[in-house]
Amino acid sequence: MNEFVVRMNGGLKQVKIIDDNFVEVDNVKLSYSIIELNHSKFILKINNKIYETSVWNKSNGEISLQLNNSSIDLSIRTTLQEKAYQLLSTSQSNADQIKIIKSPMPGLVLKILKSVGENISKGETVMILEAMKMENEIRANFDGIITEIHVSEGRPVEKYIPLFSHK
Amino acid sequence: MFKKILIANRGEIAVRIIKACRELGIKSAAVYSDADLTSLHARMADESFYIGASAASESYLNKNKILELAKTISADAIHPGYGFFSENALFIEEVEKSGITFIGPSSKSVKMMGSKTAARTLMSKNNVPVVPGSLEAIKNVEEGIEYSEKIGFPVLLKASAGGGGKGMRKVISKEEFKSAFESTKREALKSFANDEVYIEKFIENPKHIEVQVIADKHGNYRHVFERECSIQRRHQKIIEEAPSAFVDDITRNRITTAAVQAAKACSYFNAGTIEFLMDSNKEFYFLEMNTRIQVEHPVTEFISGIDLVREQISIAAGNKISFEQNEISINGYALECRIYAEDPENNFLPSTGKILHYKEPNGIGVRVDTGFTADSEISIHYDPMIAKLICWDRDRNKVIQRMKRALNEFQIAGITTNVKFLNYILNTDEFLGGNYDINFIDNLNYYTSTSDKLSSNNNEHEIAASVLAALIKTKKKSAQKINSTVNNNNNWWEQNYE
Repeated sequence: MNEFVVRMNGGLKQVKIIDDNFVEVDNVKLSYSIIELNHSKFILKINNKIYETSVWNKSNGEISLQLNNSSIDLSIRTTLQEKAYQLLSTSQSNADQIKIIKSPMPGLVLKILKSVGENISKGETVMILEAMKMENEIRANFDGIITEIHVSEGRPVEKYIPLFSHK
Repeated sequence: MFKKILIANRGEIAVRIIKACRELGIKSAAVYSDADLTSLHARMADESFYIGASAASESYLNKNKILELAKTISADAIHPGYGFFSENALFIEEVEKSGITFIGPSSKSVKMMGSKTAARTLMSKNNVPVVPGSLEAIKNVEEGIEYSEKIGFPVLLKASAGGGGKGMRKVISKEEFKSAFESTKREALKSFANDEVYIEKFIENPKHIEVQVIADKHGNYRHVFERECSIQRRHQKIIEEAPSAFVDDITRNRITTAAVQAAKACSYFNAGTIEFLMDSNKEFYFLEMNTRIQVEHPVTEFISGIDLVREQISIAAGNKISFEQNEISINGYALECRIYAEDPENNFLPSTGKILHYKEPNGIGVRVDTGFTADSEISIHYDPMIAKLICWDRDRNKVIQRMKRALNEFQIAGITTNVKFLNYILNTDEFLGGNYDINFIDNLNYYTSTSDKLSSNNNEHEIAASVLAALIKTKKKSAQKINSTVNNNNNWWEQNYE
């Protein structure tokens, strides 16, 4: 039950909590201790190294955490959940992958440069979002075709609002 | 000396001014908007006044509200900081009329330097070299293209009322001109309430060198040496240093003399900065004068020992400059890194939200100027700069090492910052060698180079992160465990931590 698969930065780690003092990461045994300072801050010691950590934004196994000076986004599943995930993702992989680009910040949609059905290449600007008095270019992150535009020019958007989809 | 100063600004510069006021025994009055309820300046000032909604036009740019407040609370001076009203001649004029002292230059000097085109004309007349380009605003696209072809592409489109990197665009060809012209005009109108745009010849690969000047109301002029601010992105400075490794004594003498000349040409008083572009032959051209305190003033303070903000206040109160030119010299080397709430790995998009965890670096030769702390909110309404990290050491190599150490100590959680990116720049051969120009960041392929260059201690962090995640996932069970850990095992904690 205490075995997990953790994904981050494009890699994967297997973690097994052995007991209150030891943990195994990718089959390497490490000693650990942890102190909870408040609901989001922990002091974590692994072997002889102490880390100051903060944890936030937890949903569906997605965790963002701060470890000393570095921020890390990761997803975690129990080995059981991982198996289910593997099954699910192989059955989906044949379908066209549609990617939704969401607003990275609240702002105003200033200009939409592409329309549905248009081809786009990686790095190409699709729309301009104004925030913090600056015009920010929202770009496609792979080659493909626009399948949907979710917003219109002049519309203010909140963070994480879908802007456009492409495949 | 003044009794109470109203600080018509926010963030780190407001905090910086509050500190100077306190040292001078002057009461500080802060203003804050809805979005800044949680920011540091409002908490720190002797008095804090709410002035309106988050949008700057409702609060920090609401002229009448600020002027009225200054009168109501009997402030005898207003410090504008940088940005907002600092270079707004109309605002300064009204302050002057009201009998309240403006901590900065006269509205007349600001007017002379405020229009970039008028300033260029004035400098030409006073033998300060300027970049070739139009001396007046461009009326339409056709005229702009014609003019650009005359001086030759690439050109730079600039807002006449601009500054701080906003409202500027490089145009490589005729085809790009129309859209660049329109978007520069839009940005200029929004940022400066003036959509006049002019054209300058784009100088290839220059360095950005600027000179700090300071003058009093008795006609005394001083310079406080140069700063180099060539590390910029979209004309927004990111890393600044003083002195410049590129400037030798002869060039320093020439450029500081030109800067004082420029200040005299507009009968300047208070602190100001003359910005120049310097080409590879060490020829320099006047770019603009910033008639206010600069973001990067701390590097100058570190190498000269002069407190520029305190000097500003003292001069505004009618005192003479507190030092003679020959009393100051360059001591050591200072670097400043601007910590921005932005994501360098995602096209530098601004990051907003609450700062969940915040811990500053410290130690010898380390200074942090910030307007935020844990639980502060970084909003979309203002500049995304979170903090300035400034380091000093005896030479350039040492200060770079110190800066890297300090950057690694900086802990900011909850929003994405450019700290890794800054660290990356400090490790490049170009930066270490002092061998770079203002196009350095544009030519940097950070996105593809990050993964391999930064991964050295990443694995250790990834292991710790995965352990932490696993422990949190089993938190229900580990709640008891944590308690027992504290009880059984608290020796290392008490001895080693802090």
